[in-house]
Amino acid sequence: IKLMCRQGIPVQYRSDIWRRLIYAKISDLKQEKGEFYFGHLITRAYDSLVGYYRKQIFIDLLRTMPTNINFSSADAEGIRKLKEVLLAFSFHNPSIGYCQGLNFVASMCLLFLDTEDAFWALVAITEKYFQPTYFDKSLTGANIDQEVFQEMFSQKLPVLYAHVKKFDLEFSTITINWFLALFIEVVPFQTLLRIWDCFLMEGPKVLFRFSLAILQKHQEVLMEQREVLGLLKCLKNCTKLLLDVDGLVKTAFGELKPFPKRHSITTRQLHFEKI
Amino acid sequence: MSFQGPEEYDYLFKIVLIGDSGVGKSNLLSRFTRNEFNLESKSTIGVEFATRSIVVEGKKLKAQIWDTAGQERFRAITSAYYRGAVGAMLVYDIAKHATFENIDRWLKELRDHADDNIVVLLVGNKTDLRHLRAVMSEDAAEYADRNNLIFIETSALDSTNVEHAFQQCLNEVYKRVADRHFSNVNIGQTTALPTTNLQSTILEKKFCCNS
Repeated sequence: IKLMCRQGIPVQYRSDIWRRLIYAKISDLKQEKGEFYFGHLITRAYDSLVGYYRKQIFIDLLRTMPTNINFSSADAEGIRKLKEVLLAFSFHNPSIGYCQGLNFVASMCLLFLDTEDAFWALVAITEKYFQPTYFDKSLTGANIDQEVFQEMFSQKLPVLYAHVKKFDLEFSTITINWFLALFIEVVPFQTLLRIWDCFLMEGPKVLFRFSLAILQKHQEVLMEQREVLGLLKCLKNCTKLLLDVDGLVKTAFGELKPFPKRHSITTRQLHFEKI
Repeated sequence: MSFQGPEEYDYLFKIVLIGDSGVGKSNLLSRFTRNEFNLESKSTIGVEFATRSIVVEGKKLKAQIWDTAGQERFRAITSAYYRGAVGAMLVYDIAKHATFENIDRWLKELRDHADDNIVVLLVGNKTDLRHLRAVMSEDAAEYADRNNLIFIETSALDSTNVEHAFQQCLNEVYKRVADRHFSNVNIGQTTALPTTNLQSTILEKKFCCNS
């Protein structure tokens, strides 16, 4: 199944497999919370007018997938679902509440899953796939991963890393949303699906792989950039046009060997957490 | 693959857009740099950027404008965002009073992270929503006055004052540079070095290649 995920889940099985992968992560939690949990959260979401995160969620609803007809107007079906998922989640996990970017993640889930499954997918992603601090009020986990990623970048692609370091730029401000929003809005949709297939199967480690693969594939043209905005534009255009997904997967899982093992990533995460 | 041909300019100025989520930062950016307004805009995650050059007193100024997520938790990653900025647009929505109330916090954020001499504009955006106005111009003007900010109201949607706002910001930056408010401006440097002050981030140069 890991191999199938890397090769891309056939479209007719995607919903089903994503759902299974997600439930494998949270079935215990779901059992513990009981079968009415999601419905209960929805009721609370509709009853309560206060909800600290309500305002931010409402600002973002129509700014999530505006070109999709199901998400393009206030009374569209997708918007109602997205609102329910995000509000329910903000009550479920008050320490994250709502983090911008989760709107994109939730809407992506809603393209393949029903409302309750999309809610559990969001729970799985924020609490099980990533560390629970990933999306917290200081984006603690996300920042730690950027430190880890910078270190990996310097080891795997030292020449490009040295080039990028010459600019007055915190490179992580660019790459953080590759991780936080799971490449949504970064790569073309078909490529995005393939990254998600791998992510849901194998977890956040693949985000490091894909990030490095993207940089490696465009190393040459990135090296030619002499100015910070040129570099950023170039990187943005390269990722937007990343249609050779098979090549990307090949680079990510083949050419980057040896890749740090999951436990060594964890060790580095702990190291940066202390700092 | 090259995305822009060689471009000449005399000065490169970094301008940052800040303010609450949904006040229209990204559309101010696109209106000024591409003359576009996007009704189907998306939440900004991470950092966006664009450039445009204008001529002031015969000098070509290239503005490098940065835009970022408005949600508070993203500020943790954006302290680097202020580095080297010589101008800031503090944006609120004239139809949402809370976004004006938060200006205080944004200003503090700037004072903590940006250069002391940074030019700050207070921008009341969305004047096209005049029937929904919640922040009086006089109140904002008075606030700006008290805090030494330049005040302007804009509409990214119908273009009102957007050009003027950025021009004013760049003019003022240029004036301060010409008066040597930003000390130790390096001349003829091609790439900025990592620094915490403005020393090497205002680049005075000719014949720069941006490809």
